[in-house]
Amino acid sequence: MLSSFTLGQYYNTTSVIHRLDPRFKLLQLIFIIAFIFVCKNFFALFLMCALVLIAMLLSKVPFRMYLRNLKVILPIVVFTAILNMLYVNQGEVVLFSWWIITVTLDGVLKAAFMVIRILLLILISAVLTYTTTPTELTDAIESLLKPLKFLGLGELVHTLAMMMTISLRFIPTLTDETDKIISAQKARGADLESGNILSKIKALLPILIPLLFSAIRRADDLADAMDCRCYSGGKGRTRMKKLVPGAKDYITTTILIVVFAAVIVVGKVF
Amino acid sequence: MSEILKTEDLVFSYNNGSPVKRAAINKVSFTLKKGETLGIIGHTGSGKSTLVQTLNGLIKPESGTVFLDGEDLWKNPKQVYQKRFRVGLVFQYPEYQLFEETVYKDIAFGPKNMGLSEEEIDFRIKKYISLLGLNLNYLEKSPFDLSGGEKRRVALAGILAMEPEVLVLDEPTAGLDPVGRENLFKAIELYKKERSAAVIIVSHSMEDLARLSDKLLVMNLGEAKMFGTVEEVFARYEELSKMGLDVPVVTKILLELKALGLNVNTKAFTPAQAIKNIELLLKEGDINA
Repeated sequence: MLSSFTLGQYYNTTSVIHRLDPRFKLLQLIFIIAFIFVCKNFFALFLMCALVLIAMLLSKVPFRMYLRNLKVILPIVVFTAILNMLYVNQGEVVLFSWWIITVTLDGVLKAAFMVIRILLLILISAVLTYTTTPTELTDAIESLLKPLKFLGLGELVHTLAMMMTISLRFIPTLTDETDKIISAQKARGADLESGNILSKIKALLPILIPLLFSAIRRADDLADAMDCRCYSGGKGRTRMKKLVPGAKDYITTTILIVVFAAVIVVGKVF
Repeated sequence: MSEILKTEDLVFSYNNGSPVKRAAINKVSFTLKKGETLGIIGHTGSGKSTLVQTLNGLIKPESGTVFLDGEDLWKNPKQVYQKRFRVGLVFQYPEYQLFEETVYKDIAFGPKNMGLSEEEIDFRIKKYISLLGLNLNYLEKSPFDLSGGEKRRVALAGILAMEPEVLVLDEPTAGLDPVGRENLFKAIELYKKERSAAVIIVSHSMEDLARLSDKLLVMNLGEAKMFGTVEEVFARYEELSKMGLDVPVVTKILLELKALGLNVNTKAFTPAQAIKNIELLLKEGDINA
């Protein structure tokens, strides 16, 4: 029932993008998103399109996986397109006019521009989530937030990262557990499908209470286990897998800087 | 006695339709009569837990049929959940399904779903909590304040109070101490006798199964490798050990004695039977090997 649910959407394969340092990937993603918004015209946007497409090709993730992502946001895309078409009324070339609805060429172009922007945002974010495991992402966030320790927030950063790691670790466990509890209560004749909203919420109690109880029990056990292994926060803790940036990280960053410069120039010139 | 439960060529696989499809159970058939106990043996991942969940309709088999009292379980898919009151399934570690404020309310959950009257529910709760050897003053306690063994018994009472005709237990004694195990088995035997119910026990302990079961079903890699009386199944100990399964320790001792050249009857699966066979051997007096 819940087994189809997976957190994140890591696609297990080996590609250049998979092997990039997650910190670089995360920062690069942030800058790419920023520059998608910096684009002033179609020429600049075209450059970003090419960039995203190349990233998708390099990731070796099948295109149907990306299409699946786009399917989810299709309603938002359609909605944005329609709103833009209807609200942009300037421009001389009127394509279509009926009652209070006027669609101009400018409106259509503006709508296309917005739609491409949204698609690019989704696709480039998907490149990151398909090629980076949640654990790698957490490590990257912890590492990137390290400078906060100069503000005396070092321990906080470590705690947050540890919390994220633990919750990611327990999602599959608790999903399994939920399945089991649902089956057990169904075996006692629990009816989870029929009835109105109020009775449906009530029917969830036999599942939520044992689940909460077991989550707390597991947390307690985990705390004991961490205690037994002398865990005492982030101070003096070393890592088994250190993140070390390599040539490919610097090369991709250089390429990105060139593309970004081109985007700015193209935006000014045309 | 009449057949209460019968399965025919049950097939079910996980991840159906994807390349990692894996058959959990493949063509499993067995029959069970009223008042009989069936033991199911098999490794982790042999399909035991999937099999027991097909018996009360929690899992719908891809093909094959489960007959409950001669009627196809899935004849009317909308009524399947009512069959769950007739085939009571006790999951592994059932204590983790307790959720009510009091033991009383928790045991009442199943009978209430059946739509029984208040008096009937009250009667059954008191009956089955006593059958499981717990004092009536436990009824007002919170199930979360009980010990592990007590919780297990409360959970079992919750299923027994539905008075199922077939009681299915998935590793009922996992994690219990010997005393807790004995108490649990005693209660199951009592229930079985009183309701002339059929019982299915999934277990890793050959000793327990040898003592309790009339018949055994051996599962390996999703297939029913053997189905027969305890004697028939344990007699094929060589095949069993090839599957990485065991026979009871006492049977093993007798087999070793026989291998040493003693003329001993190896058909013994409980300590009492084994003692008898060894006494016989001693009487015959041919211990000169």
